Amino acid sequence: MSDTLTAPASPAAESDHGHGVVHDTNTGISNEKLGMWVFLGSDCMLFGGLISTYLLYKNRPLAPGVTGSTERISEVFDIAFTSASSFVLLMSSLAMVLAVTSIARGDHHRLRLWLGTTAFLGAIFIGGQVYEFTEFVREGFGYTTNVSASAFFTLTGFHGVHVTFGILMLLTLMVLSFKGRIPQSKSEAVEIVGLYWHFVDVVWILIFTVVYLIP
Amino acid sequence: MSTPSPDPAASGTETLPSSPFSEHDTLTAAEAATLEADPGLNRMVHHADMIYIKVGAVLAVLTAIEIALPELLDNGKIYGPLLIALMLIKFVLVAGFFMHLRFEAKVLSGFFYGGAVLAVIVYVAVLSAMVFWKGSGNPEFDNPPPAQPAVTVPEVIPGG
Repeated sequence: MSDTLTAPASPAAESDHGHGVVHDTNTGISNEKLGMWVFLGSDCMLFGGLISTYLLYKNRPLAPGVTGSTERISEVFDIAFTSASSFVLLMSSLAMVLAVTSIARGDHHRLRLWLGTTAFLGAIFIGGQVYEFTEFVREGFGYTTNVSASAFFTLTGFHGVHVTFGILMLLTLMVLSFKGRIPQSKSEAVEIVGLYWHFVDVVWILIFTVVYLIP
Repeated sequence: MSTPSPDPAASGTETLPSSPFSEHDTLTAAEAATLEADPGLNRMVHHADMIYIKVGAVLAVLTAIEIALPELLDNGKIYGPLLIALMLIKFVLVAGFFMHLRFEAKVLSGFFYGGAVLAVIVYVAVLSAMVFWKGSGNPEFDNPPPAQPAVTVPEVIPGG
């Protein structure tokens, strides 16, 4: 299967990339997309720090000189429930990539369908996380119960905030699409939001394994 | 409010070489021009949706295996390394196909995978310093840490 495509010279190629002008870059990647990748790189470091902090404290619920509960929050994990949430988020990534290919082909109806599906699955994931947090609080684990609980809530809470922002971006794209403001020539906007969404999924793949599954 | 697809016969067509997905092999000139402006997207769209659905199915199966591992394995020692291996496969599948790093400029792959490996090395080094190097002059990171008196917060008297 060939990965190359030679497109014919066309006035559209020279005149329209969303702004009416094609900007050449040294990397061959648009500044918008490169900006998103740089942001994702910095976000990698953020989540790396949060995951490391949880790993450091998960078996040591009490920091030196601090009193609190000696129980570990991992003792109340509901793996079956979190597994279902993980599956939902994985499938949302599939829906997102189908949205990107839809707009690349100029199929606006399917674009909105898949964007809506992605946002819906993301909302289910967030609902699951809210339920999970509520259950933990009922079990006696609040944000300040001990250090391991604080590290866990900070890590998964930051991820939840990322998912929420992703849902807002998806809904914004849907509104813009309904207004006809995402022509096929601006498909890169959908692709960039897709990059963010897939990154959030990748981070959850790490969190699910490292935090929930590995004893 | 779906936009009708332009008539290929009216706008000119282009046939992509050797793709197994014939229903997507014909692009209008406008579509080809749009894709030409973004090489990464160009190569990604060249692959049909079925590829992504297959990748999604593989991810679902890998997740099911992850969850079922404790039931499948008696040897708990290989449980952790197996989970890490499955996690890395899922990571590469999502980054490679869904984020289409496989089809993008090499600089992005180097940036993402290189940065991820560097971050893992840095964090593992820091964690190992805190967890494994006991008696290195930093007893607070021993496991368990040394007993210390609890911090007492002085009572604040309003207006006092």
